[in-house]
Amino acid sequence: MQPLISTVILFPLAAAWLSWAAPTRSARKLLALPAGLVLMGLSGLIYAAGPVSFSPHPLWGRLLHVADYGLLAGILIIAVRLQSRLSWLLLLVQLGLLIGFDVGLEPPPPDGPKIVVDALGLTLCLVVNGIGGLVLVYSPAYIAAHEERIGRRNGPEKTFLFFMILFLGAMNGLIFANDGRWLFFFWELTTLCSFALIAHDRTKASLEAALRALWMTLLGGVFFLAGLILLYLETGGIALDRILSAPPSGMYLAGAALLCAAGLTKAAIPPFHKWLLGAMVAPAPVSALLHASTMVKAGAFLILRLMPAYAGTFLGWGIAWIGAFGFMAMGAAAIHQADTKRILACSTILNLGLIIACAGFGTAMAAAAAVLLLVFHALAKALLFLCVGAVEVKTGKRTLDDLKGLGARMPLTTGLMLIGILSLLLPPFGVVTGKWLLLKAAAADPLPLFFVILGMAFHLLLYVRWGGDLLSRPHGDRNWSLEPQPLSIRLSMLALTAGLAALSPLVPLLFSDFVVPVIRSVGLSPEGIAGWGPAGGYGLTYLPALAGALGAAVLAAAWISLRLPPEGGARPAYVGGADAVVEGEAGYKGPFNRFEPHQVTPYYFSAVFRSGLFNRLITAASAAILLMVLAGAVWIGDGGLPWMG
Amino acid sequence: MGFRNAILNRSRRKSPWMLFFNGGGCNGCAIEVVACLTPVYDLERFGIVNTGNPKHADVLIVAGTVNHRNRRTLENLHHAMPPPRIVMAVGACACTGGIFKEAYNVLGGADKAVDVDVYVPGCPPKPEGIIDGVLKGCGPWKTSGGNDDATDD
Amino acid sequence: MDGLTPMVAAATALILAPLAGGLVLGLDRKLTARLQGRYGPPVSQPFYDLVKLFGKGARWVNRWPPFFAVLYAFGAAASVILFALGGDLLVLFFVHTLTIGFLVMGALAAVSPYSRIGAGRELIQAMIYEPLLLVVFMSFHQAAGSFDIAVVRSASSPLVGEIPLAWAALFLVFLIKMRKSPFDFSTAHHAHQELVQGIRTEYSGPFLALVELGHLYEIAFFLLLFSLFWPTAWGASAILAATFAASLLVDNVVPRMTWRWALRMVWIPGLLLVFANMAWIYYGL
Repeated sequence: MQPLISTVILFPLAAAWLSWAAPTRSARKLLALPAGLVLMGLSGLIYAAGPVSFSPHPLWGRLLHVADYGLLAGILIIAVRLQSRLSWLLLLVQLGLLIGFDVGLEPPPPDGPKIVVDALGLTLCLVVNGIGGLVLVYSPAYIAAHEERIGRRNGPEKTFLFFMILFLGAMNGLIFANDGRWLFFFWELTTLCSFALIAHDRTKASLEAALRALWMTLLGGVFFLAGLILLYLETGGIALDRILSAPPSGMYLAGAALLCAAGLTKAAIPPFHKWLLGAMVAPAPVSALLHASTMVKAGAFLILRLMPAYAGTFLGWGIAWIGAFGFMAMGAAAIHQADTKRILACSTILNLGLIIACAGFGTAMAAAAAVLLLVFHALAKALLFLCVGAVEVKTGKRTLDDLKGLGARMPLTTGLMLIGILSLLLPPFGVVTGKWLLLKAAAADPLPLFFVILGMAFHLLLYVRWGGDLLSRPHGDRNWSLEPQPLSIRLSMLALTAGLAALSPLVPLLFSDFVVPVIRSVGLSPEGIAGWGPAGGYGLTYLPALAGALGAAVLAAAWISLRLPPEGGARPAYVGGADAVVEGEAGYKGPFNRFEPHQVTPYYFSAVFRSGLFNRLITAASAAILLMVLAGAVWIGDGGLPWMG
Repeated sequence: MGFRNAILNRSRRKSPWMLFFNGGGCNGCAIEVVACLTPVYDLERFGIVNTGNPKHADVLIVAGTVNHRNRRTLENLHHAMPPPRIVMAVGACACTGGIFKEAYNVLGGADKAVDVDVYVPGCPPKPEGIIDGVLKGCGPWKTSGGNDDATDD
Repeated sequence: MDGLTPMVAAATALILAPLAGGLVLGLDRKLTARLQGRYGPPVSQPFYDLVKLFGKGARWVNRWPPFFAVLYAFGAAASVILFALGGDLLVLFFVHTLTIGFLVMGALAAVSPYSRIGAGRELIQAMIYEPLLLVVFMSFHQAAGSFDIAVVRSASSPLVGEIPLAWAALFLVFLIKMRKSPFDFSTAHHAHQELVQGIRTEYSGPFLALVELGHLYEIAFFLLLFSLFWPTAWGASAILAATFAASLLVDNVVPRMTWRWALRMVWIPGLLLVFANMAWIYYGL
């Protein structure tokens, strides 16, 4: 067990250096596939081996302390060279806090294991390495085409793979670290990787976005350190298990609140959402890996981890508000977006908001919802990003209007994209099961629910519009020839789809073995919901039944619609009888018999949602909620409030 | 089979949805058709609905002449209607070209473009006549006949 | 419960629901005609329309609208069947979402200006009423203590006494679902629809029939939801009659409005109503 954990953290570091040292492009390409497969295999083995906790040789700890300073100094140099004043100021604060901690305070007792592997960590490990491995497999073919498209050969493609693999190692460390300092090191390592990968294209826009991501996540690092120091002062330890089991007192909740704020910056919950929206300039695998399935999940992971610290307090209630508000705000903000990657970014934040709201609700059922959302959202979003990337490689385009009628040109990618879209909206897919549990959990406390409910409406509009547009095309017969596509890209997308489709209806069966342990690991008693208790066995029958019926209906619909005679009834769309189709484009014959194509752009509601006022309102309102929650955590502590039931 | 047809034909008789096409006419017939829809004549009591969409319609009502300019439109509309469908020429112009028959741009009545099932003469015909025409057009469905070819033209 | 009972319940729902929905539509058309001084079509008119459409040929722009028409009818029927089997209200909500998603995607897939605008408006409608529907379900949960339909149905006192404002909110949703004025901007049965037939434009023949059938199921679904407010035979009849009469009245005295107006007028009062009602129960006033 112990060697497995060490390997899953250290292997990526080694593989990253290998890819850096690899002499040629093709050598790097060869490296990505085994690296991805090894990581996927390792995570499976670790999951099978189950929870464990241990401390490696103390030398590692000392090494890490030195590396901590090295890492911060490295980022500092980058920030100074790029003249990002905000970033280096924040780094100076971080360094100050770190030195203050090491010099000014007594060193924490070396008690407790440095590495704790629990069910929550195992689940996230499976998600990170499973999806991360597939993204690694996908990357080389994508990045080669991408470099060609942006007109640069032999560019920093070298560093691309390096940071991708390094990032996975950092993520694994972050998941399993129990010591606060260790956690911090891996936390900031992901910040560095994210910065480097966003800046990958070296354009003005990408540098700007990368610097914004840098300072926002560094701010999270400051929160992290400050919270850790507060918690150390209160509990006398920096090991997470020790902190979480300590009785709340004095500034304990303030410390926990600061750690949660750090999680919010990483998860890009408003008011920290701007960096993730900007980060969409990065290549698609980066978006898939960092901004959909893994790095942003680190934020949610930390907040879930801390659940025992704030469950049932004002802070928990406040976190539910923050998450729910983020859910609604990003749903509204996504509506006017035409760029599919930005839509995905908004929708990522929105789903993370939901997970964080679950953490805030703090019941066993909410925790179960959080786990389902975490896993299935990661699968669905990674799939969608990879599909958008595959389209971008092929056509160089990615706005909603460009994707219109994609089904005719790239049938396979479109089909997979459609499954990804539907999986976010429709039962019996896992994300919806998660939302179901969330609504059940939230029914007891309907106030934050207000935002969740509105957010769900925006979400529906967003994705149905996209799905319908994908399929639209003027009349013509079917085209069954699949688009040519690199095998690695195709297989990784297919694997994600298969996971999504196969796991979703099985959720009730997997519930007691895979979800209940996680509920236990965040300090909640799964009594009453073990064995799919929430619906009294209902979920067990309804989900597979609905999945089966829906599958049969889809087959029947396909059979019926394909059996329609090839030419007998196909007609152009009705436009007053003046219809015409010229070169695959639908339109009408206008004055002087001239052909005019007709175009209907979807409703974007730009007048409302695009306005600066609206965006400022989101930021201001979410910042106000965050400040109130932080202040409340300090002043109210663990005392309940009269309206909290 | 007989029972199915009986039910189907009865339903068709009870629910002829119409599409109105106004060719090169004077709008007199159009006004009479609209009059049918008003509470006075209340076409809906026969289940007749003005759909305005060829893909939903059963009865194509043509008023006015067919000329070089509108022939394609009329053909398109007729082509877009799913079978079984009925074409009705309402008014003198749609029946024969009427007083515009000799005009340089006019081809003649509706039957120059599409096959017409029912002719309702008059300039303009009375609403009663138009309603009568629609119901007469449903005649083939009295028994078991009717144009039931799902893949024609 | 033996295995046969749920099968019977499902089969009954499958057959009775479109009959009930058609009856409501037929009555609606008849009474509307009478209110306008017309004679009107027979009450059985929706069934004639349905049968005729099933027997008609089809016209399609591409194969997606027929595909999604089948799925739409399936989803709508599934929501009624799930209700009859006594499931979870939230699951019904999600299945309902699925249903609407299919209808809209089919209409968007046809490259047709009318059907695409209609689909866009249908989505806006969905965006308008989905939150309302969900809070109504939440208020059911609050009043009856469970999302389980069987539990809600066996509440000791009629829920309409406890959550009358939720009834008002669900009524707004019902107006939208029945495609009644002032909310008939995505499609309408009337000739004065400015988008030809809006979202239905490119569904034709048997596929239009499927869409119509799905609509009947959806109406039946909402009737069932209303019956939850007073789940005895007489109570449900009274509630349904009142709802129906009110919708008829509103339809005939209000003109069609824009979606912007609908968004404002449904969200603000609707959500306020339900939340006021929920707060009222929550604080035990």
